[in-house]
Amino acid sequence: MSDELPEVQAAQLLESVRQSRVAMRRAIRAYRGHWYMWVWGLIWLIYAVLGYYLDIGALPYINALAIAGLVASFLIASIQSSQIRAPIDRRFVAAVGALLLFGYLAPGILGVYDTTSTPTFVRVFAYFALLWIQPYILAGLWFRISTLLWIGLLISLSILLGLLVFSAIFWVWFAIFAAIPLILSGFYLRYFLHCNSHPSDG
Amino acid sequence: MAELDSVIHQPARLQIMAALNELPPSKEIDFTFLRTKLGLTDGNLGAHLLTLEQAGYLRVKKTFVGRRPKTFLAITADGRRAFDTHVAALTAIISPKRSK
Repeated sequence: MSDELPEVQAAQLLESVRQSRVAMRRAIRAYRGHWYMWVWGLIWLIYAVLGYYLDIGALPYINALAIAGLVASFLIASIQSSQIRAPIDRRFVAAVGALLLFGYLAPGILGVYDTTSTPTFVRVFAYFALLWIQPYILAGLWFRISTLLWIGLLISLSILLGLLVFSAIFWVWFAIFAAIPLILSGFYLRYFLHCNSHPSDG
Repeated sequence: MAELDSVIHQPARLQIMAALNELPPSKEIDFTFLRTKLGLTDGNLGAHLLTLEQAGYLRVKKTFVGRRPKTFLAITADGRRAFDTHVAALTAIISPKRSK
């Protein structure tokens, strides 16, 4: 069959293959986790502004924004999975669930959940920000996506540094070195990361 | 020398396979989404998918999202192999020296 096909036609077919690949790569790029990073980075940025200006008074707004963020994340997941989806990895979901459940129970069990004074409020806030960045690390390890692993590790480290070393300017630190990097990580994932590789890639 | 695959050789099916081959192994794509990306009609895409499915090159999963019926597609390992072989054969035609 190969002998019968003219060179010109083979070239046209290869060009159509190239075009299909490019179109699909563009589509796949639009379905990475960047939307979550943009939403949560923006919410974190608002947290930082609220914390800076309202101090402990920011707590009700922070809780309301967290709920709004969860709803937005659920919507993003629903929309994306209706077009390009992967089978749900139940073990991963269970692992994240266990991590978050333990993370929420631990402060209560230890009796350290206190948001009545500024230093402990900041501490509790940083703790929960750290808790919610851990699923990135877990996903990075679980699915072998080193970018997610590094994003999670670096932002965790940055939050810890802000809490332990730069606590006097925590909210400013959190905005610049946690919220904005999370948003920028979303842009990196969306526009710059080349991770769609499998054996057929030349 | 790699041989052309008569199932994949049809231009629309080649396009479909090229697109599906870009999906990471665990992912599936919605029928309507693929149709829009490739600019094919419902009937045309459906017919070609049936041929590819019968050849064992792709997996079709029918499901419901809410109350709406949805069809998701994924390429199989055989499909990936066949596509790679076919592309190698096409490449060999335009550059025979490189393929040897």
